[in-house]
Amino acid sequence: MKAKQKKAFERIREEFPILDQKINGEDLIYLDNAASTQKPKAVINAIKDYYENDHSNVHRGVHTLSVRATEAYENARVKVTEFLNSPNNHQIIFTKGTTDSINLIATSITSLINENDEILITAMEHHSNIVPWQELCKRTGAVLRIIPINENGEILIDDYKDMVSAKTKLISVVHLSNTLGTINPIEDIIKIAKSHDVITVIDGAQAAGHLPIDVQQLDCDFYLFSGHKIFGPTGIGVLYGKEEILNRIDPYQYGGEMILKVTFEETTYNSLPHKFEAGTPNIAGAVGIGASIDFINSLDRDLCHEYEMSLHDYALNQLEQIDGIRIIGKSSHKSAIISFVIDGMHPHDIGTIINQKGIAVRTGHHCTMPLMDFYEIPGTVRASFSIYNNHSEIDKLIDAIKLAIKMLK
Amino acid sequence: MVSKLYKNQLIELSHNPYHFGKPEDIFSSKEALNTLCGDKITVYQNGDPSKAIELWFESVSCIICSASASILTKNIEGMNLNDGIKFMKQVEASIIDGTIRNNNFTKDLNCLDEIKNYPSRTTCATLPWTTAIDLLK
Repeated sequence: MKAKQKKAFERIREEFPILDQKINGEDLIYLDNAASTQKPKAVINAIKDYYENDHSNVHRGVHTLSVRATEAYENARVKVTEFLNSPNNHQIIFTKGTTDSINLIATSITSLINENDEILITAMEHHSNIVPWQELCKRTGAVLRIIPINENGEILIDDYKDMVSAKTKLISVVHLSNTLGTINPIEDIIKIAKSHDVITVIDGAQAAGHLPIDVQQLDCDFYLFSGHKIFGPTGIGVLYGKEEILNRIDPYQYGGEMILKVTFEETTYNSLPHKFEAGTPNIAGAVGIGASIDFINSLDRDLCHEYEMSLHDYALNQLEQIDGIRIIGKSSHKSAIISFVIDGMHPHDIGTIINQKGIAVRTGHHCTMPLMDFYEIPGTVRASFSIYNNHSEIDKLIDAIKLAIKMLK
Repeated sequence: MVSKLYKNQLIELSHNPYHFGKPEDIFSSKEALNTLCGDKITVYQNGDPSKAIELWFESVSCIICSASASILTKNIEGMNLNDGIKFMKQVEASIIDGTIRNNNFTKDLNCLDEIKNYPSRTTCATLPWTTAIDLLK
């Protein structure tokens, strides 16, 4: 990477005020981006500006503030529409986050699932892409089947092909694994599913901030992500759905906003997207996610990916030279996430010691306990990189890990 | 300083824990998970606890949890049920509120005192005690 480009990333880092602080007397090194990214000034200011100038409740209000709030909220929807290349705005539903989006589908689709139907997920899913389907199966008598992975953390596509049958009603798969960093071949997975009329759900929580997403090109039925993993606020997420299926499934929650007409005898539901947005929505969150999309759009995404992977490769190269280290997740198609374990040392102990050096990594099972069982480990240390990290931070990470090993031996 | 937490004594206890493994005469056992990290511990009572408490444990856990379990099994050995449960509840509460040193516990318990400065690790230290209380109550 050229010096000029590195300089550009130094300037990007300056947009994130939280990074300019000491933790335990050391410069903060934030390598927990897979859990949540930090927020640029543009996002913080957009939320502040909304609350200082434009806040009111959305829709139906005739006064100026309500009109402004509605415009802000619906403008955010337009930005998400463009971000995902959705055919139109009303296929974008605002939710609380990816977990909420999955729960929405798993709940609303209940009437379309019958006893002995099969739901497919993979062995690398986050708990949020396991538990809602388990509950759907409990309610309906459907069967949850798990597509296996290999030691490198890659889906066994041939096994998947063999598993898809007339019984298969839905597949829900993570686009980019939060634990392994694997980028799954969702194009192929969707294609195979479509050839059997299987509904496809893509958990894009990790992917949306790192990879360009085109839902029309993917041809998935649902694509989901969270605001807080794409430099936006917490408590706001997105569900993209195909219009036909969104119209076919039931509302998720009931109340204001999602209705067209209410009498004591019956209720007519509102059209999309309002059918799935009961109650006052997270307006400031939507404004924030809109600002985070503007921020992402201001970046050269290919260059960002290249930069993040240069951090990944630099870290991986040094980590692999440490005695007793085992990298968890060695797919040939990866994002900038590295999970590892060290012989005889517990991830929490390593995490606590390197926090003393101001370094934030995530330790534990990363909400993927079945995946931990697959690797026969209690958890991992996970370093996940973003555009505001740099190579000298990785040097400090490596030094801190070596210190932890020395202390814990 | 993190070195105060990871004292040599704590590390040594976790590497060579007291009463680690399954005992010969399992009267009862209790398994528990640390929901924060997925760590697992199983605490066993060897023999009839109405005669004397004798705890053993197996765990897949961090240094703090293993060392804490070792301290538990050593300190509780031979106590009767009432005294044992009372003692364990007292230690558990002291770890949580950071008052280990304010009690007349044996010296080895002092190495858990520093946990008070690491609130995210409190459960690591209390898990063996909580599990043992559940087992014997």
